[in-house]
Amino acid sequence: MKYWLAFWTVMVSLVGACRAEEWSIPKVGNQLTFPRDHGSHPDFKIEWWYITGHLEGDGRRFGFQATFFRLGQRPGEPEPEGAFRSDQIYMAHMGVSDPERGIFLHEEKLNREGWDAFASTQELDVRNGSWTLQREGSQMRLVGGVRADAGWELLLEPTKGPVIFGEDGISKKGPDGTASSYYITFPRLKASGRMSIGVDEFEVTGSAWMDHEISSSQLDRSQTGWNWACLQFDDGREIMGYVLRTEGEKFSPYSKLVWISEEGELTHLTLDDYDWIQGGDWTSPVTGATYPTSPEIKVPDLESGKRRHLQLRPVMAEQEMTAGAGGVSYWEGACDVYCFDEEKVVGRAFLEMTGYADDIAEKLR
Amino acid sequence: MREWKLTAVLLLIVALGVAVFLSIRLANKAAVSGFGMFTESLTGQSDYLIRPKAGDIPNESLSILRRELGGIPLGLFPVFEISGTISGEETVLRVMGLDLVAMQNVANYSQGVAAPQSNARGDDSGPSFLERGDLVFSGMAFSEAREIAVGETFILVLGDRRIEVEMGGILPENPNLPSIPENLLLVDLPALQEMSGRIGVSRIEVRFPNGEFRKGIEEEAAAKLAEVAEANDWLLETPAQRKDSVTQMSAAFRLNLTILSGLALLVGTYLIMQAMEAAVIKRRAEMAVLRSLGVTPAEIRKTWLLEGLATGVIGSALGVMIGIGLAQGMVGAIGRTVNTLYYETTSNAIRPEPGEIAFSMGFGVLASLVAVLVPARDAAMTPPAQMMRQGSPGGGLVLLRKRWLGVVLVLIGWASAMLPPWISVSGSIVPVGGYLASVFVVVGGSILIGALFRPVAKLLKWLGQKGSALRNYTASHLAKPAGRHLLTAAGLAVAIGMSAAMGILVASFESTLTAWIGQILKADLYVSGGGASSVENRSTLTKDTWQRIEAMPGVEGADVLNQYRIMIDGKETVLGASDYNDDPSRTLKMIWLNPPADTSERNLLGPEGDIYPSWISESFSRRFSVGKGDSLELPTPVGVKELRVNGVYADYGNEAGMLVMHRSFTREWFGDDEVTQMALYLREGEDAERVAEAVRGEFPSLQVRTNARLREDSLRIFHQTFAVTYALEGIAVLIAVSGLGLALAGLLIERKSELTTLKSLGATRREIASGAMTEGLGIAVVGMAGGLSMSFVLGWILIDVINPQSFGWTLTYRVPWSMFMVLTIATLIAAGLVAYVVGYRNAEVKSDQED
Repeated sequence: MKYWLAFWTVMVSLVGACRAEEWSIPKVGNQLTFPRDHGSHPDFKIEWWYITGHLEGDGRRFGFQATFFRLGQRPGEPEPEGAFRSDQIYMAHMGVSDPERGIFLHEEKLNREGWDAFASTQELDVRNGSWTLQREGSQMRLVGGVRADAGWELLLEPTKGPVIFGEDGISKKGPDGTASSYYITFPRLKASGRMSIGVDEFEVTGSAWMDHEISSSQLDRSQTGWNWACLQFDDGREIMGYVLRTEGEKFSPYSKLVWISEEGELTHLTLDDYDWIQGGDWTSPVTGATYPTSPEIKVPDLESGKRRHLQLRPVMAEQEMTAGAGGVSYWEGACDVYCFDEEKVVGRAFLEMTGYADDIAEKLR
Repeated sequence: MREWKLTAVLLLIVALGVAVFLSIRLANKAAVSGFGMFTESLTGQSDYLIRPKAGDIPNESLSILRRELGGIPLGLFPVFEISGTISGEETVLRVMGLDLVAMQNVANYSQGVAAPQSNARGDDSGPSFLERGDLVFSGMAFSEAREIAVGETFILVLGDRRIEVEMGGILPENPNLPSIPENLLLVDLPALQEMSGRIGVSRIEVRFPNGEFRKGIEEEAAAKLAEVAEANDWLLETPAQRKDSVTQMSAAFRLNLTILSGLALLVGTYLIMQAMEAAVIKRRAEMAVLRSLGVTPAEIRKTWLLEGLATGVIGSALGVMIGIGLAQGMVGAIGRTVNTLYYETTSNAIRPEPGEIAFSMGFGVLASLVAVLVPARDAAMTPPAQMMRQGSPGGGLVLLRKRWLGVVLVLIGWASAMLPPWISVSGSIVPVGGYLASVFVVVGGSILIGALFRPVAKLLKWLGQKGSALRNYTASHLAKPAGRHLLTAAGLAVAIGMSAAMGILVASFESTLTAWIGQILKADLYVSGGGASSVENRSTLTKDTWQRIEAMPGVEGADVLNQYRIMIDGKETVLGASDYNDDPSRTLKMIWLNPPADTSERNLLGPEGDIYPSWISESFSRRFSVGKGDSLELPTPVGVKELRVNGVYADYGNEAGMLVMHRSFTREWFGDDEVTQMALYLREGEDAERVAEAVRGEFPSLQVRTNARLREDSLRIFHQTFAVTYALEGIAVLIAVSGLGLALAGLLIERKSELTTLKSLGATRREIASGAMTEGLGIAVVGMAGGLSMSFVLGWILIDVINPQSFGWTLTYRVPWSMFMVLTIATLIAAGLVAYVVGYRNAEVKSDQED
């Protein structure tokens, strides 16, 4: 088994050993134009289209994740159109949580740019194998699933946004200008469609979140991973927040938290303004990594002016995306947002934790 | 001979028969299973295969397929497979192009085995196939056999292309998969397309996802796939169907081998019968006593049947062990034959499959039981002790004395030869009538040869007039042959008959082939791409290459041929595209079975409207039931074309059949101007070897053969094909001759009292031995004469019934007289020697006992 491992890891080094300088880096003040910028940016090294959401149907509740990654292999002139290109690799992850049955399913697909995976540079049209994400009028259509265990086809309608995070249109992840991204988000999408788990099929409705992030280096050298969350409150507001971890489990000053008002206005906060308290350790039986799955967040509520004490409570502990050939394991799961002040659940969230099972910075630097 | 010795010999006979039978079957299977779903050794088996009916599947079709499947979560894995070789090597390599990135997904699909999931970091130290287009990968066996380590470079030859490649890594063996063949090279798919200059794929492997809802997806997917395949004119098959359709190509060859191996067991059956009969006779007294004591005939019969069963089971078990060993030695030879004649295979290790073992054991036990049936009946019919005199000769095998039965069987055999062949569901043709006829003729013939004993005895008596009285006396035994004589002669006749019949087949084949080659090979030099050995390999010469060769000094003209594998009516065959327009005198120099009415250029090049002229080989004509004047639908990358068959020609090179047409059409349809072979005609007085050297010098990757060399090679391949056959014949004759010794030993034991008398009359051991030799020779002569007579009939069945039906080849009947002579002399010498030794030894034992 070890030989296989050695062989394939040499074969597929996900992100080529090229220097970031040769790739484009996000520029301050650059104006994003839509729908073009919902499409692909092959001159950047890393790009992803990320959708998570909470669905309900027939009294059941599901959480889902669908992420399409594009990983540039070498900068410069793109290869000519063809069925098997080597300059872009597409990785996609799908996951679904079924807390009632205690089942978490996930799958990874890896394909080169060409006949079975591509992303349009004109607008939103991403594909990897049988999984697709495309614009359909004012909506998006997501077709995905996990092997023959689950399948879904969802229509996603933005109720606000898109919003663009960061100052001057770029989201900085470190002092070095290269560790930054264009970060485009639809913070609330109305979801409807069907979801099948095993042999059961459900008509589902719910809400979803979509990020589209474009960069050439996501992490600064000193950083080891991140804890990221998107919170959708029942009152129509959202929070996107994260802490970037550095060696010794310290938080980088580039950690951020953003309030999104009902109208889509952004308020950026820094670590001086909010607290992120790790807690609720869960150890993965697969990777052995220990994830703090129930973090508490203390943050000023800009509307009421009061400081709120929130906790993310996962719908189930086991929501770890264990690595395929892509080689990245992380925890990505549906949570409830519990408010200690009100003593009740005030919204739903998705929590993402990287860098616990392996050195993600190595992959995404 | 002592009881245990007899038992030992009996067991050995059964064991040998079963061993030969099993080993042939196992070796066969291994040779065939080596056929290439090479991907299986890397990623496990797929659920469906999509293949083009002709040419490659263009890259563009891949995205169309995915689009048409919509959201159905199928894994689609394109495979591009070509053959090649390594510079300076003769062996053909299977070069397989897989998308090495997409292969990572394989584990999510049914039966897929891929890299284990890991959390380890990627190691960027080695080169990546994404950055380098010259990396190849192989199993350990390849690397060790050629001493090519990771990081070393070598020259890979694909057709006329020579590419410097680097060994990028050794593929690890997976214990759950077949081992990685030694002749397999793995290349990233786009890199292989670049290397070969062919932008397309050979097939698409389809896999269903694992999971709870798999069943539902399977149904939906199968229906959708069938629809898409239909719309694109592709073939949709399961791997099992694919294997069938490929192995079917060599089915006739393998069936022949199995039948030949059955022969060994048939001869064995005769021998067991013989030995059992001997035992019955020896224990007649015992039987008689048992009868007197009130044991019923049914009980006695049961005892004997039990003994037969025990012999069968133990002997077969022994045979299985020997057989597995034998098979290991044989698989190489069979594999080479299949390789040369049919398709690329790798000689796999023998897998002793329980099914095959059970089948062979069952066959062995059944044969033993059948063999013991008649002697058991004899034993049961032994009269009680008071009614019999000790040593009275047994009743013998009643059946073997019924001449009328022999005549009836031979007649039935003749009638069944007229039966039409049976065509299986998969379309393979089995000449059932021919095989039935052979069996009837063999069994009937072995009964009829009993009639030969009297004249042979007379002959010996006449010869013996000048010899010793003793020899004369022994010969008289032959005039009234015992059951044992009949059995021995029958066994020998069967072995000789079948061997001689194969001899006739081979001789007829060879003379026909030689004549055909002489007619067909008119050019001075033949050029083909490197790494091509059978029709399956399409190893091509680019337009630039063949045109440069055509223009080389000394070359007067060239015919070029391009071959494509195509599917017609769901069966694989070959399309040959040829240019004969350079010189009308060379046009259509073929052996015509049904010649075209008009061989002018207009006939070759002029389509009538949308109907194109073509001609077909005899095998093609039989396989697809078309003849001159018929029309045919040919699948091409640009759609189905209608052809008219203008003539049928003889072709002994390819039993899959060949459809030939002018290259100007196919060039357009298949969109390539490459060729697979060239025939060069040299200027008057040019030295072929010198020009061949010049071509080799300029194009070192090409195979260049002179006319003489090609003829030699063709005949060598031909003989290679029959190598296994020769070995089998040898074994059959060997078994039969040892049976002769066994029979004589039994007879001599039976005549103990006679021998004692003879000795007291002053007969020496030598005289007794020479008497036994006379008797043995008599039996051998009967067996030889009967066997050779049988062989003429069997030869006719092979050549006029079985061969045309299963291979579609017309052969001229030739009898290999010299081979017959050698066979006769060798058998007689062996029989005489064995008989003498047996006689000598038995004479001694008796006199010892006397004292």
